[in-house]
Amino acid sequence: MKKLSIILIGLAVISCQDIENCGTDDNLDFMILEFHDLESQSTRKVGFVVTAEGSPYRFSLSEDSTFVALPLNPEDTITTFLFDSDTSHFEVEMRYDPELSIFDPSCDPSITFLNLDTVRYTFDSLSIPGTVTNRQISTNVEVYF
Amino acid sequence: MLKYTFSILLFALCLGVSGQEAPAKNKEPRSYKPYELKLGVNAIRSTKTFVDADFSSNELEAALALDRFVLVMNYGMEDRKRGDSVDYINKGSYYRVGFDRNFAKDKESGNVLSLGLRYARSSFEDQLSFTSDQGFGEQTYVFTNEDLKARWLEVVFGLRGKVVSNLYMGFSMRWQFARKINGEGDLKTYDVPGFGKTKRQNSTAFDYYLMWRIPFGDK
Repeated sequence: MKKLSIILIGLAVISCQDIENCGTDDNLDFMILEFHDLESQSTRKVGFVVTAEGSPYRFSLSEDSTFVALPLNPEDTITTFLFDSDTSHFEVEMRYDPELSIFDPSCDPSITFLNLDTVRYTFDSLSIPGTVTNRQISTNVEVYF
Repeated sequence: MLKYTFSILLFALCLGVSGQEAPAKNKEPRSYKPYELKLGVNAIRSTKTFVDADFSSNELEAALALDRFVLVMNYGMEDRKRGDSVDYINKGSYYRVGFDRNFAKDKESGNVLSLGLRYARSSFEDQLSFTSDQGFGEQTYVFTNEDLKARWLEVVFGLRGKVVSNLYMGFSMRWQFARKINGEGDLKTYDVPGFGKTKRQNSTAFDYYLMWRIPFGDK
Protein backbone atom coordinates (compact mmCIF):
# COMPACT_ATOMS: atom_id res chain seq x y z
CA MET A 1 0.00 0.00 0.00
CA LYS A 2 2.92 2.34 0.67
CA LYS A 3 4.13 1.74 -2.89
CA LEU A 4 0.65 2.49 -4.26
CA SER A 5 0.55 5.79 -2.33
CA ILE A 6 3.95 6.79 -3.71
CA ILE A 7 2.87 5.95 -7.27
CA LEU A 8 -0.34 7.98 -6.89
CA ILE A 9 1.46 11.00 -5.46
CA GLY A 10 4.09 10.73 -8.21
CA LEU A 11 1.42 10.65 -10.90
CA ALA A 12 -0.29 13.70 -9.40
CA VAL A 13 2.96 15.68 -9.36
CA ILE A 14 3.90 14.63 -12.93
CA SER A 15 0.47 15.66 -14.19
CA CYS A 16 1.09 19.22 -12.93
CA GLN A 17 4.42 19.69 -14.79
CA ASP A 18 3.47 21.07 -18.16
CA ILE A 19 5.55 24.12 -19.00
CA GLU A 20 6.69 24.49 -22.61
CA ASN A 21 9.59 26.43 -24.05
CA CYS A 22 8.27 28.40 -27.04
CA GLY A 23 11.58 27.98 -28.86
CA THR A 24 11.13 24.23 -29.09
CA ASP A 25 8.08 24.49 -31.35
CA ASP A 26 9.07 22.77 -34.62
CA ASN A 27 6.38 24.34 -36.80
CA LEU A 28 7.31 27.06 -39.31
CA ASP A 29 4.84 29.58 -40.75
CA PHE A 30 6.74 30.01 -44.03
CA MET A 31 8.14 27.81 -46.78
CA ILE A 32 11.70 27.63 -48.09
CA LEU A 33 12.09 27.85 -51.85
CA GLU A 34 15.49 27.03 -53.33
CA PHE A 35 16.78 28.06 -56.78
CA HIS A 36 18.54 25.51 -58.98
CA ASP A 37 20.27 25.50 -62.32
CA LEU A 38 18.30 23.38 -64.78
CA GLU A 39 21.36 21.85 -66.43
CA SER A 40 23.75 21.25 -63.55
CA GLN A 41 20.96 20.74 -60.95
CA SER A 42 23.15 22.60 -58.42
CA THR A 43 21.90 25.58 -56.43
CA ARG A 44 21.79 28.82 -58.38
CA LYS A 45 22.58 32.36 -57.20
CA VAL A 46 19.84 34.82 -58.10
CA GLY A 47 18.87 38.43 -57.50
CA PHE A 48 15.09 38.31 -57.68
CA VAL A 49 12.57 40.65 -56.18
CA VAL A 50 9.83 38.37 -54.84
CA THR A 51 6.24 39.38 -54.17
CA ALA A 52 3.49 37.33 -52.58
CA GLU A 53 0.09 38.31 -53.97
CA GLY A 54 -1.91 40.00 -51.22
CA SER A 55 1.23 41.04 -49.34
CA PRO A 56 2.33 44.68 -49.06
CA TYR A 57 5.98 43.56 -48.90
CA ARG A 58 8.59 42.91 -51.59
CA PHE A 59 11.46 40.61 -50.74
CA SER A 60 14.63 41.77 -52.48
CA LEU A 61 17.16 38.96 -52.70
CA SER A 62 20.87 39.83 -52.84
CA GLU A 63 22.76 38.66 -55.93
CA ASP A 64 24.20 35.59 -54.20
CA SER A 65 20.95 34.25 -52.69
CA THR A 66 20.22 30.59 -53.41
CA PHE A 67 16.98 30.37 -51.45
CA VAL A 68 14.16 32.50 -50.06
CA ALA A 69 11.74 32.10 -47.14
CA LEU A 70 8.23 32.87 -48.39
CA PRO A 71 5.10 33.62 -46.35
CA LEU A 72 1.93 31.61 -46.92
CA ASN A 73 -1.43 33.16 -46.15
CA PRO A 74 -2.98 31.19 -43.24
CA GLU A 75 -6.46 32.45 -44.13
CA ASP A 76 -6.30 30.98 -47.61
CA THR A 77 -5.22 27.72 -49.21
CA ILE A 78 -3.48 29.24 -52.22
CA THR A 79 -0.74 31.89 -52.43
CA THR A 80 0.85 33.13 -55.67
CA PHE A 81 4.45 34.33 -55.80
CA LEU A 82 6.00 36.56 -58.45
CA PHE A 83 9.78 36.45 -59.06
CA ASP A 84 11.15 39.42 -60.98
CA SER A 85 14.59 40.42 -62.14
CA ASP A 86 15.78 42.84 -64.85
CA THR A 87 15.66 40.07 -67.44
CA SER A 88 13.08 37.57 -66.27
CA HIS A 89 9.70 37.03 -64.68
CA PHE A 90 8.44 33.80 -63.10
CA GLU A 91 5.34 32.81 -61.17
CA VAL A 92 4.58 30.00 -58.75
CA GLU A 93 1.14 29.30 -57.33
CA MET A 94 1.20 27.13 -54.20
CA ARG A 95 -1.66 25.19 -52.63
CA TYR A 96 -1.56 23.99 -49.01
CA ASP A 97 -3.59 23.18 -45.90
CA PRO A 98 -2.92 25.58 -43.02
CA GLU A 99 -2.89 24.12 -39.52
CA LEU A 100 -3.01 26.35 -36.46
CA SER A 101 -2.46 25.20 -32.92
CA ILE A 102 -1.40 26.44 -29.53
CA PHE A 103 2.03 25.16 -28.60
CA ASP A 104 1.63 26.83 -25.23
CA PRO A 105 -0.76 29.64 -24.24
CA SER A 106 2.22 31.86 -23.40
CA CYS A 107 3.65 31.45 -26.93
CA ASP A 108 2.65 32.89 -30.28
CA PRO A 109 0.27 30.71 -32.26
CA SER A 110 1.90 27.71 -33.86
CA ILE A 111 1.31 27.67 -37.62
CA THR A 112 2.33 25.05 -40.12
CA PHE A 113 1.32 24.30 -43.70
CA LEU A 114 0.64 20.75 -44.80
CA ASN A 115 0.31 19.04 -48.19
CA LEU A 116 2.23 21.70 -50.10
CA ASP A 117 1.59 21.37 -53.82
CA THR A 118 1.73 23.54 -56.93
CA VAL A 119 -1.26 24.79 -58.85
CA ARG A 120 0.95 26.20 -61.61
CA TYR A 121 4.47 27.50 -62.21
CA THR A 122 6.40 29.17 -65.02
CA PHE A 123 9.88 27.97 -64.06
CA ASP A 124 11.23 25.19 -66.27
CA SER A 125 10.79 22.61 -63.57
CA LEU A 126 9.73 22.38 -59.95
CA SER A 127 9.92 19.74 -57.24
CA ILE A 128 8.58 19.61 -53.69
CA PRO A 129 10.96 17.67 -51.43
CA GLY A 130 9.21 18.91 -48.27
CA THR A 131 5.42 19.04 -48.22
CA VAL A 132 5.27 20.31 -44.61
CA THR A 133 6.76 23.50 -43.19
CA ASN A 134 8.77 22.69 -40.08
CA ARG A 135 12.30 22.92 -38.74
CA GLN A 136 13.11 19.33 -39.67
CA ILE A 137 12.83 20.17 -43.37
CA SER A 138 15.45 22.50 -44.89
CA THR A 139 13.83 22.95 -48.33
CA ASN A 140 10.17 22.76 -49.28
CA VAL A 141 10.27 23.71 -52.94
CA GLU A 142 13.06 23.54 -55.55
CA VAL A 143 12.68 25.51 -58.79
CA TYR A 144 14.86 24.83 -61.86
CA PHE A 145 15.53 27.32 -64.64
CA MET B 1 1.65 19.75 -2.66
CA LEU B 2 -0.70 21.23 -0.03
CA LYS B 3 -3.76 20.46 -2.11
CA TYR B 4 -2.95 16.75 -1.96
CA THR B 5 -2.51 16.71 1.81
CA PHE B 6 -6.17 16.12 2.59
CA SER B 7 -6.38 13.31 0.06
CA ILE B 8 -3.30 11.59 1.41
CA LEU B 9 -4.72 11.75 4.94
CA LEU B 10 -8.11 10.53 3.71
CA PHE B 11 -6.43 7.73 1.79
CA ALA B 12 -4.52 6.64 4.87
CA LEU B 13 -7.75 6.80 6.94
CA CYS B 14 -9.65 4.66 4.46
CA LEU B 15 -6.87 2.13 4.25
CA GLY B 16 -7.11 1.88 8.01
CA VAL B 17 -10.88 1.51 7.85
CA SER B 18 -10.78 -1.08 5.08
CA GLY B 19 -8.05 -2.99 6.88
CA GLN B 20 -10.10 -3.48 10.06
CA GLU B 21 -11.39 -6.94 10.81
CA ALA B 22 -15.13 -7.04 10.28
CA PRO B 23 -17.05 -8.69 13.11
CA ALA B 24 -18.01 -12.29 12.37
CA LYS B 25 -21.43 -12.40 10.70
CA ASN B 26 -23.55 -15.00 9.07
CA LYS B 27 -22.87 -14.82 5.35
CA GLU B 28 -25.80 -13.14 3.62
CA PRO B 29 -26.74 -13.85 -0.01
CA ARG B 30 -25.49 -11.18 -2.39
CA SER B 31 -28.06 -8.66 -3.48
CA TYR B 32 -27.72 -6.35 -6.44
CA LYS B 33 -30.54 -4.14 -5.24
CA PRO B 34 -29.34 -0.52 -5.08
CA TYR B 35 -28.58 0.38 -1.46
CA GLU B 36 -27.34 3.96 -1.75
CA LEU B 37 -27.09 6.94 -4.07
CA LYS B 38 -24.41 9.54 -3.70
CA LEU B 39 -24.84 12.92 -5.38
CA GLY B 40 -21.97 15.31 -5.48
CA VAL B 41 -20.08 18.16 -7.04
CA ASN B 42 -16.52 18.45 -8.25
CA ALA B 43 -15.05 20.77 -5.61
CA ILE B 44 -11.91 21.64 -7.58
CA ARG B 45 -13.88 22.86 -10.58
CA SER B 46 -16.36 24.82 -8.45
CA THR B 47 -13.58 26.43 -6.42
CA LYS B 48 -11.53 27.29 -9.50
CA THR B 49 -14.62 28.90 -11.04
CA PHE B 50 -14.69 31.36 -8.11
CA VAL B 51 -10.99 32.22 -8.12
CA ASP B 52 -10.11 32.12 -11.84
CA ALA B 53 -11.85 34.70 -14.05
CA ASP B 54 -10.81 32.79 -17.18
CA PHE B 55 -12.29 29.48 -16.09
CA SER B 56 -15.87 28.48 -15.43
CA SER B 57 -16.91 24.88 -14.84
CA ASN B 58 -19.31 22.81 -12.83
CA GLU B 59 -19.48 19.05 -12.64
CA LEU B 60 -22.00 16.80 -10.94
CA GLU B 61 -21.54 13.17 -10.05
CA ALA B 62 -24.17 10.54 -9.32
CA ALA B 63 -23.07 7.17 -7.95
CA LEU B 64 -25.57 4.35 -7.46
CA ALA B 65 -24.21 1.49 -5.33
CA LEU B 66 -25.25 -2.12 -5.96
CA ASP B 67 -23.46 -4.72 -3.88
CA ARG B 68 -19.73 -4.21 -4.56
CA PHE B 69 -20.33 -2.31 -7.78
CA VAL B 70 -21.15 1.35 -8.23
CA LEU B 71 -22.71 2.79 -11.39
CA VAL B 72 -21.27 6.26 -11.89
CA MET B 73 -22.23 9.17 -14.10
CA ASN B 74 -20.65 12.61 -14.34
CA TYR B 75 -21.98 15.58 -16.22
CA GLY B 76 -20.04 18.81 -16.53
CA MET B 77 -19.86 22.11 -18.34
CA GLU B 78 -16.71 24.06 -19.00
CA ASP B 79 -15.86 27.49 -20.39
CA ARG B 80 -12.19 28.38 -20.51
CA LYS B 81 -10.03 31.19 -21.91
CA ARG B 82 -6.31 30.84 -22.40
CA GLY B 83 -3.44 32.81 -23.84
CA ASP B 84 -1.14 35.79 -23.48
CA SER B 85 -0.36 36.76 -27.06
CA VAL B 86 -3.37 34.80 -28.38
CA ASP B 87 -6.98 34.46 -27.26
CA TYR B 88 -8.15 30.89 -27.11
CA ILE B 89 -11.73 30.18 -26.03
CA ASN B 90 -13.03 26.68 -25.48
CA LYS B 91 -16.50 25.84 -24.18
CA GLY B 92 -18.78 22.85 -24.06
CA SER B 93 -20.11 19.99 -21.99
CA TYR B 94 -19.11 16.43 -21.24
CA TYR B 95 -20.32 13.30 -19.55
CA ARG B 96 -18.77 10.09 -18.28
CA VAL B 97 -20.55 6.84 -17.57
CA GLY B 98 -19.11 3.68 -16.11
CA PHE B 99 -18.78 1.56 -13.04
CA ASP B 100 -16.51 1.10 -10.04
CA ARG B 101 -15.62 -1.96 -8.01
CA ASN B 102 -15.69 -0.94 -4.36
CA PHE B 103 -12.93 -2.62 -2.34
CA ALA B 104 -13.86 -1.06 1.02
CA LYS B 105 -14.84 -3.91 3.33
CA ASP B 106 -17.56 -2.14 5.31
CA LYS B 107 -19.90 -0.98 2.56
CA GLU B 108 -22.57 0.09 5.04
CA SER B 109 -20.27 2.89 6.19
CA GLY B 110 -20.57 4.43 2.72
CA ASN B 111 -16.78 4.68 2.42
CA VAL B 112 -15.42 3.82 -0.98
CA LEU B 113 -12.05 2.60 -2.16
CA SER B 114 -12.59 1.84 -5.81
CA LEU B 115 -11.20 1.08 -9.20
CA GLY B 116 -13.37 1.57 -12.25
CA LEU B 117 -13.80 2.27 -15.93
CA ARG B 118 -15.49 5.16 -17.70
CA TYR B 119 -16.58 5.99 -21.22
CA ALA B 120 -16.57 9.76 -21.78
CA ARG B 121 -17.87 12.10 -24.46
CA SER B 122 -17.61 15.82 -24.94
CA SER B 123 -19.37 18.28 -27.28
CA PHE B 124 -17.70 21.64 -27.57
CA GLU B 125 -16.47 24.54 -29.70
CA ASP B 126 -13.26 26.50 -29.70
CA GLN B 127 -11.84 29.67 -31.22
CA LEU B 128 -8.33 31.06 -31.64
CA SER B 129 -7.83 34.73 -32.42
CA PHE B 130 -4.63 36.71 -32.65
CA THR B 131 -3.20 39.81 -34.29
CA SER B 132 -0.01 39.23 -36.21
CA ASP B 133 1.93 40.03 -39.35
CA GLN B 134 2.24 36.75 -41.23
CA GLY B 135 3.88 38.47 -44.20
CA PHE B 136 0.60 39.98 -45.39
CA GLY B 137 0.53 43.07 -43.16
CA GLU B 138 -0.76 43.16 -39.60
CA GLN B 139 -4.16 41.49 -39.41
CA THR B 140 -6.44 39.91 -36.86
CA TYR B 141 -6.92 36.24 -37.59
CA VAL B 142 -9.86 34.26 -36.21
CA PHE B 143 -10.13 30.48 -36.53
CA THR B 144 -13.12 28.59 -35.18
CA ASN B 145 -14.27 24.99 -34.76
CA GLU B 146 -18.03 25.13 -34.17
CA ASP B 147 -19.01 21.50 -33.75
CA LEU B 148 -16.35 19.42 -32.07
CA LYS B 149 -16.91 15.99 -30.53
CA ALA B 150 -14.46 13.99 -28.47
CA ARG B 151 -14.56 10.63 -26.76
CA TRP B 152 -12.15 8.77 -24.55
CA LEU B 153 -11.86 6.06 -21.90
CA GLU B 154 -10.74 6.34 -18.30
CA VAL B 155 -9.43 4.07 -15.60
CA VAL B 156 -10.43 5.68 -12.32
CA PHE B 157 -9.05 5.14 -8.85
CA GLY B 158 -11.41 6.63 -6.29
CA LEU B 159 -11.65 7.24 -2.62
CA ARG B 160 -14.63 8.59 -0.65
CA GLY B 161 -14.66 8.99 3.11
CA LYS B 162 -17.38 10.08 5.50
CA VAL B 163 -16.89 13.58 6.86
CA VAL B 164 -20.04 13.99 8.94
CA SER B 165 -23.57 12.52 8.86
CA ASN B 166 -24.26 11.72 5.18
CA LEU B 167 -21.61 14.10 3.86
CA TYR B 168 -18.70 12.42 2.09
CA MET B 169 -15.54 13.74 0.52
CA GLY B 170 -12.85 12.20 -1.60
CA PHE B 171 -10.91 12.17 -4.79
CA SER B 172 -10.82 10.46 -8.14
CA MET B 173 -7.60 9.93 -9.98
CA ARG B 174 -8.08 9.32 -13.67
CA TRP B 175 -5.90 7.86 -16.36
CA GLN B 176 -7.49 9.00 -19.61
CA PHE B 177 -6.68 7.26 -22.87
CA ALA B 178 -7.92 6.31 -26.38
CA ARG B 179 -8.97 9.89 -27.07
CA LYS B 180 -10.48 10.78 -30.46
CA ILE B 181 -11.55 14.21 -31.65
CA ASN B 182 -13.89 14.77 -34.60
CA GLY B 183 -14.78 18.00 -36.37
CA GLU B 184 -11.45 19.84 -36.36
CA GLY B 185 -10.77 22.27 -39.20
CA ASP B 186 -7.59 24.29 -39.70
CA LEU B 187 -7.47 24.90 -35.95
CA LYS B 188 -6.21 22.03 -33.81
CA THR B 189 -8.01 22.06 -30.50
CA TYR B 190 -5.91 22.65 -27.39
CA ASP B 191 -8.43 21.62 -24.74
CA VAL B 192 -11.24 19.12 -24.48
CA PRO B 193 -13.79 19.84 -21.72
CA GLY B 194 -13.55 17.04 -19.17
CA PHE B 195 -10.30 15.71 -20.62
CA GLY B 196 -7.89 18.64 -20.50
CA LYS B 197 -5.06 19.49 -22.85
CA THR B 198 -4.79 17.54 -26.06
CA LYS B 199 -0.99 17.82 -26.27
CA ARG B 200 -0.70 14.30 -24.94
CA GLN B 201 -2.75 11.45 -26.32
CA ASN B 202 -3.14 10.06 -22.80
CA SER B 203 -3.59 12.20 -19.74
CA THR B 204 -4.06 12.07 -15.98
CA ALA B 205 -6.53 14.07 -13.94
CA PHE B 206 -7.19 14.58 -10.29
CA ASP B 207 -10.59 15.64 -8.91
CA TYR B 208 -12.02 16.21 -5.44
CA TYR B 209 -15.69 15.52 -4.83
CA LEU B 210 -18.05 16.64 -2.12
CA MET B 211 -20.97 14.21 -1.95
CA TRP B 212 -24.25 13.64 -0.15
CA ARG B 213 -25.28 10.05 0.57
CA ILE B 214 -28.89 8.93 0.25
CA PRO B 215 -29.21 5.40 1.69
CA PHE B 216 -32.10 3.15 0.53
CA GLY B 217 -33.85 0.98 3.13
CA ASP B 218 -31.84 -1.04 5.68
CA LYS B 219 -29.18 -2.53 3.42
